[in-house]
Amino acid sequence: MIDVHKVTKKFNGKTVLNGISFEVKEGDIFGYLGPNGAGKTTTMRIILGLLKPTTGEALVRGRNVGSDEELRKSVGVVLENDGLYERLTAYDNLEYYAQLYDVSDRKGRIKELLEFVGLYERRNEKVGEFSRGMKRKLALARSLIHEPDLLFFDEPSAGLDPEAQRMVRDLILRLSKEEKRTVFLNSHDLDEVQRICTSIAILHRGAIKAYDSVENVRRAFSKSVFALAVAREEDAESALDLIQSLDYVSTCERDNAWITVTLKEKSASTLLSTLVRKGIKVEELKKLEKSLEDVYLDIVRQEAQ
Amino acid sequence: MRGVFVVGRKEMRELLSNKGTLFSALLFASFFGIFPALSAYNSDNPAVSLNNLIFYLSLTLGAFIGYLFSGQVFFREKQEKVIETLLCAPVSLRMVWLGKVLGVAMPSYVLSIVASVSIILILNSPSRAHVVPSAAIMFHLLIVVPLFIASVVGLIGFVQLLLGMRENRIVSLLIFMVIFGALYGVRGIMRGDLVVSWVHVGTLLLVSLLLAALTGYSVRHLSKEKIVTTIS
Repeated sequence: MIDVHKVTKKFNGKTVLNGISFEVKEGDIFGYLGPNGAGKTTTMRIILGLLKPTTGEALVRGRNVGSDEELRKSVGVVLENDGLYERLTAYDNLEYYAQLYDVSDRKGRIKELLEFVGLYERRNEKVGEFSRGMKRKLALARSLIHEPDLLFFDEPSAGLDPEAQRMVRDLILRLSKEEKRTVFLNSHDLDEVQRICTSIAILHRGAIKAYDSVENVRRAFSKSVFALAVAREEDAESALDLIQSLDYVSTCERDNAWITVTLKEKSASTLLSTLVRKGIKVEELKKLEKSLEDVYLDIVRQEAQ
Repeated sequence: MRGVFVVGRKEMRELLSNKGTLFSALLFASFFGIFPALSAYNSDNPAVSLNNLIFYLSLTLGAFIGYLFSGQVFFREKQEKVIETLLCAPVSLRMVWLGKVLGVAMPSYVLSIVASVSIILILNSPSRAHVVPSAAIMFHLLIVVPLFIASVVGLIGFVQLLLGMRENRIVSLLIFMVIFGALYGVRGIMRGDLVVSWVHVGTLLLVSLLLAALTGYSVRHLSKEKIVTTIS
């Protein structure tokens, strides 16, 4: 559905995206993660044709969204800014876009969407009087006015209360599972992404650092993380010193008798035999599964170092 | 072209719902329409005064109101980043720009006509001889004025979409000073010996056409990227 191929974007000589490539398949909920300034919004703008890549290409169904008005009819967006006209009413905002997208049965569709986001009773109020959450809901309704099969959401639940966040999550899941729509989700809400996305890419400083399904990314980054418990708690301190001195250990942390170790290379059995040779008895050794948050923070921190 | 009318209608609706801007526009239209007409009331040649005032004020007033409205339609939409969502809709950038020009130029022209009609009514008060605008002035009002206003609005809109926020403020101030200065030029028109003729109207028509051509050419160089990267 979306094919981003070796895209580089430079602004005044400064590289914002550096040869990124990824694909989003039809029906996917694709989570695009990264800290502020990583290049998430720039990527989305390039796919939407608001910016041109310096090199590479970003296509939707093999076509360029920016130069293809027909293709834009199948795309819905909620950008960082809600894109609402504050002096117009909720109804007028939706009607404007319904006209731009040439929606048939405008009245019926607007009513349906306003009821869906719980704003029908307030349809004749000016949007300027709405709360942040209400505006976000209205923007979501606007993005669906023409029943697009590809949706771009930039931080859709940012600034919303927990109930509204849940509504957004449920909406995205429903759009994908029941209506088979493809969703491109820009976010740094890791909990939201872990709950709803089928695949993710983590962007940092203009480069893709991880790209796969949520599970595969977690597994890939969990390969070398282990937790071990020493048999005697008094051995824990010397075990920690020993592990820290090993050149194949990346990080280690102690929590009472438990020590969490991330290995750069070599296997857990090498670590185990090293400890045993030094007379430290290990009672338990287990592989740890990292959460998406751990993976994300690892990437961001590694880069910072 | 459907997109042009959709955008234009929405801009007009939004302008009409903005009481502050509408009040300012009406205030200027009244001030610069009614007061010069009252000053010209005792003129020795009311027909010449009428033609001169309408010739000059319909243009400058229309351009000034167009400038006021453009700020709401082009600059504000960009400043509030609302335009980014609009650029994702299935309407070309040129159509969006044209729709906005239509949405601003139409009410500006209507207000300019209202001011011109006010001048005619004041100079035709019952105690005075009956004066009507010349054929050249009627042509001017019906053809040249809307074309001139649309060209000026188009150019202002293009500049506002093209430039960054800070540059826009500086340019807006300059435009304001030029148009406001031109409005004050009405005194010179009332004092002078100018008699508006077809030559003047034809010259202005030519200027308006050139301005429209320049604006149309410039807009070709406007891109979504230029707008998006100058938003903040």
